[in-house]
Amino acid sequence: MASSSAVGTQAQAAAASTSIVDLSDLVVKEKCHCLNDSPGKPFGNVFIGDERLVCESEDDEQLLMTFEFREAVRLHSINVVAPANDHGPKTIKLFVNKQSIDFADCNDLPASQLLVLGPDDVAADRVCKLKMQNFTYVNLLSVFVEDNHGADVSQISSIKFFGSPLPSTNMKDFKKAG
Amino acid sequence: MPLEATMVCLDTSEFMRNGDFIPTRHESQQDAANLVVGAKMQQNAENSVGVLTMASVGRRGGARVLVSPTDDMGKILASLHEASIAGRLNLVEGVQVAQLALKHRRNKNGGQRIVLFVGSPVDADANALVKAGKMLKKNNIAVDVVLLGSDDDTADKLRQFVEAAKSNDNSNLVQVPPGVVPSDVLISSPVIQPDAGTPGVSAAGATDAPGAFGGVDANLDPELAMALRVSMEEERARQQAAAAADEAKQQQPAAEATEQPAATPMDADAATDAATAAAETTTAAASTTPAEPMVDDEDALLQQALAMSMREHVASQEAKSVPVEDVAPVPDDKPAEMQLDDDDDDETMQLALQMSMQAQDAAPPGTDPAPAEQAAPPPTTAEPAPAVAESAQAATPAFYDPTFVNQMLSQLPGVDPNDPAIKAALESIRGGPSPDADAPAPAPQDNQDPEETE
Repeated sequence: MASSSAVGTQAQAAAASTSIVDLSDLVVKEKCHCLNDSPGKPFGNVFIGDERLVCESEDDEQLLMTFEFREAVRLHSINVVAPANDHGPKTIKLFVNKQSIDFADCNDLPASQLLVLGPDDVAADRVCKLKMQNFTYVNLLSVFVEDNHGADVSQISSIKFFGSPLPSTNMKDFKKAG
Repeated sequence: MPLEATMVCLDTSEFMRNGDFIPTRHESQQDAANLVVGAKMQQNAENSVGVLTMASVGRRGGARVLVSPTDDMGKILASLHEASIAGRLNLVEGVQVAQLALKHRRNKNGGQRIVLFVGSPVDADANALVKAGKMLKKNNIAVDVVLLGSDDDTADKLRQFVEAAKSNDNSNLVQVPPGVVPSDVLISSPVIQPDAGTPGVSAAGATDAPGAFGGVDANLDPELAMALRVSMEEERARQQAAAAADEAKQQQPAAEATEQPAATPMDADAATDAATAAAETTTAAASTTPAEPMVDDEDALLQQALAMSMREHVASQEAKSVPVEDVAPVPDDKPAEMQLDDDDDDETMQLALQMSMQAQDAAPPGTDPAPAEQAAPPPTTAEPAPAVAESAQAATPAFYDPTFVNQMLSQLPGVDPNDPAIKAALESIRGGPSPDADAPAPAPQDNQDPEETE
């Protein structure tokens, strides 16, 4: 699997580039949404950071989460935390900047990256490196959990993104001329 | 109200020409759709609504989007108006197209909803509909189905469809029978009022829905609706009380006939006004003390007292109904009756006394012991006065037996044998009949005078 080599520790990822930071602050939670999440274990649990709180799928094992960033970012790696049992996600497809994606699109469109995770890869200190060329300008990232390790429903307790915000204009830096 | 994008799917098949709805199915559907669109646009400023028809002419017929989700009310109303009848209904395709239209809505925030109007038989089999429903559920799209007409097969299919699409009770099926105006049904249904009404399948024409209470929209005027509801509940309580009173009245003559068949030779239905039981007892007790005069008046009064006390007795003591024999010793030993010439008078007076005592003792059980004590003393205080009577001498020894007196007193409900007042009265009896015991008699007699003259 191409993904298995891409999986390393968070320390390695941090060592690779000093400019790589946790992008959680740039995620606009109000604009993120999820399809097929259970009302009892909703999508909002992903942002809380407690491993006991999970987002669970409702109808089948598939989940489609869409994250929106406040400004464009360059993604370096992604960290998926899930229970280390058969509820954990197995095949994950990532889509970049697809505005209105649904489950039918996930099967039809080519994914920006395909990740195959083992039960060990969903721990809190593991990150999956991404193909940087596909994630250089990301406003919107869709995470499609295609299947899991055998359970009826999938569970994910948190997703974190690492990368660098693209240089943007900060109006506060401007000085009034004259 | 939540932000929502809604697709209104109209059934424009040839079946909609049917005239069982007024004026036709199609026009009543347009009217109802108009209502839905207006409600959705009002619920949130950012809501958007689109319209599509699920039947059209063409090779296969099929869905045609008239307007994609927008907040331009004019466009929506115009599209509703231009929906024309043609072809056959294709429900599954309509749902899929609606889903596609919702997917490309402009405002991605908020929920998605499809409002389906169905007025013709559904050709698709139940499995295909359930599959479409599950697809909607997976994509977080809620469905409201408005079924015009009463085709059981179609209703069953659509019910399965709604059940499959339902997540968190967000989907509803509303069935409108022919002859009912669909918008009337919808306005109180969860389609228009997501908070009001019962979730799930709601019966059509439910006039007692909270939203349509008394013809007043509870959402528009909650205070008026509350006032109406309160007054209705009060009226209902009043009617229940009146019904209970009627029932008690009907039982009363029967109870009289069974309980007092022989002992009451008089007509118990004699007209009586409502008077307090205390007044009865004083009247009855006082009427024992006067001697010969005014026998006729006494008769009338006694009848009155007896009737009143019996009524009281029946009303308050239906359940426990202390048998007459239990209290019988009191009047038997009471020599007051001996002063009266007439035997009938004796009997009736005795009954009246005993009844009013029972009524008095039973009516306020334990709550107000004072009148109960008042009720008990009259026979005892009146007792010494006619001690000269020959039968009284035979009876008095019983009163000197403290165990008998205590037993008798303890049988009277509400009377405490240990009460100091009663003890004092007993002491005075045991001390021997004294002329002083007559003292209380004149006072009640004074009270009685105005009643007799009336």
